[in-house]
Amino acid sequence: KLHFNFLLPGGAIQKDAAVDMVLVPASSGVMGILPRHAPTVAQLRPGVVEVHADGAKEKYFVSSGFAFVHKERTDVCAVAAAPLADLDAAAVTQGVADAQAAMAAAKNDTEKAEAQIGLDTYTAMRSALAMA
Amino acid sequence: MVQYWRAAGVSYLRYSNLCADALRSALKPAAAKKGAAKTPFSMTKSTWEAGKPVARVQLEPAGMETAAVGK
Amino acid sequence: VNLKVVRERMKTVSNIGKICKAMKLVAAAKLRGVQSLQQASRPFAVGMGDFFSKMDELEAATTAEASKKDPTGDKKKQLIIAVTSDRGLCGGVNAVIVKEVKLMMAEDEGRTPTGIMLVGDKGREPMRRVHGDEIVVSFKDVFKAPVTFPQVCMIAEDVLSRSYTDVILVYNRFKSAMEQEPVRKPIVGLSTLLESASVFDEYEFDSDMDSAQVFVDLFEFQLATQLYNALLENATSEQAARMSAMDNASRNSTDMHAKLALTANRVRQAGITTELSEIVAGAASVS
Repeated sequence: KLHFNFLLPGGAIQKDAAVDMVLVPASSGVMGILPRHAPTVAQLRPGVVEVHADGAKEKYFVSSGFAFVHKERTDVCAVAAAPLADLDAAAVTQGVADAQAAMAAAKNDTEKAEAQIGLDTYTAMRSALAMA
Repeated sequence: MVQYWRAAGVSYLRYSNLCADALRSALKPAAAKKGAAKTPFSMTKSTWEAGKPVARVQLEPAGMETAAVGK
Repeated sequence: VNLKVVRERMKTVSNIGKICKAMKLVAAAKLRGVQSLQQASRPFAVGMGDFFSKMDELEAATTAEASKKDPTGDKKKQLIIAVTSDRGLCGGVNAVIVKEVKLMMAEDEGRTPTGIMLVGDKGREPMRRVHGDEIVVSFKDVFKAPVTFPQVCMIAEDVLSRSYTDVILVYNRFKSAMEQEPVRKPIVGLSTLLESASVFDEYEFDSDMDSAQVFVDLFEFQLATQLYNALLENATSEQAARMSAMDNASRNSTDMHAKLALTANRVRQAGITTELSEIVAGAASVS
C-alpha cells in the first residue's frame, strides 16, 4: 500500500491514508504513483488527481502545486482542490467564455498571460468533466 | 524553456493563485460555501525609506492594488 | 481619605475588570478558531517542509562553506521578517519578537546588510526607534480576518521582489495556551537551493521545464508555505497570550476591588466614629 497525504494550505483532504494508486496531473503528463515508486518531485498543472483505494476511486480537481514521492510516503501539496463532483459545469463553461474574452481584451503580455492561466484552468476543468 | 506566464513576468505564486481562483469560481454554490479560503482581507503595505514610511498601498483579495494613498 | 473618591475608584476598577473579562472571553473564542485553522494547516507545512528538511543540514554546511569563501559576508544580504500582532494587550508576545530582532542585529554586528520587514503593526514603533533605517516595508491589518493563503502570497511576493540571499522569519511558536516562544526560522535562499541542488539527486524531477525552473517555483511555494505557517503560529500565540494577560488583569482587578472595599469600609467606619464622638462630646458640654 501507498502511504498517502493529500494536503491543502487550509487543511488535509487525506492524511496518512493507505491507498493502492494515485494518478496526478504532472506537467509532462499524467503520472501514476504505485507503492515503491522512485523518489520524484512533480510539478502539477490544473487537472485531476485520482486516488484508488480498495477498488474504489475518488477524483479531485487540483489547481496547481507539487507532488513529492518520498521513499516512505507520497505527499500531494496543492493550492486548491475540490471533488470533481463539486464542479459546476455551467460555471466552467461561463469561465471558459470569460477567460477567452479577457484574452481578447488583454492590453499587454502580463494581462494576456493571466487570462491564459484562467483559460487553461477552465479548459482543464471542462475536459475533466467531459471525461467523468 | 520557460513557462509562458513566467516569461510575461507572472510569478509562480501569482500563477497558482489565479488557477485556484478559477477553480473556486467554478464550484457549485453548496461546495463554494465550504471553501473558507475566500475570506476577504484588506491590509496596508507601507514602503519605508530612511526610517519613515514613504508610500502606502491597500492590498485586497482580487490582487488589485488600489491607488497609492501617498504619504 | 475621602469616601467618595474611594467609591469612585471601586466603580472604575470593577468596570475595567468587566472589560478584561469580556476581552478574555473574546480571546478564548478567537483562540479556538485560529488554533483549529493552525492545526488543520500544519500537515501542509510539514509536507512541504519535509522535502526541504534535507536542506537544513545542507544550509548549515553551505553557510560554513560560504563564510570561508566570503568571510566578510560581502555577497550576503538578509531580510528579517518580524511577525507581531496588529493589536496590543496580549502580554509579552510582541516585546519578545522585538527583543529577538535586536539580538540578531547585535549578534551580526552590522556585518551583513540587513533589511527588516514588519508583519503586524505592533513591531513598528519599538523597531523604528532602534532600527528604523533597516525597515524596508511593513504590513498592517494582516490579522484582522483569519489569515488566508492568497493573502500570505501577496506578502511572499513582496519578499521575492527584493533580492535578498537569506530570509529569516521571527515569530512566536505556539506550544500551548500557556506557553509561546520566539523562534528564528531561516528559509533556504534560492541561490543556495540552486547551488546545492545535488542533495536532491535521489529525486527525479517531473516537469516540462528544466529542473532549475522547478526549483524557482518550489522556492516560491516553500516561502509562502512557511510564511503562512509562521503567521498562523503567531496569530494563535497572540490570542493565547491575550487570554492569559486578560485573565490575570481581571483577577487583579478583583483583588484590587476587594482591597478598595476594605479601605472604603474603614473610612466609613472612621467617619461614623468621629460623628459619634462629636455627638457624645457635644451632649456632655451641653449638660
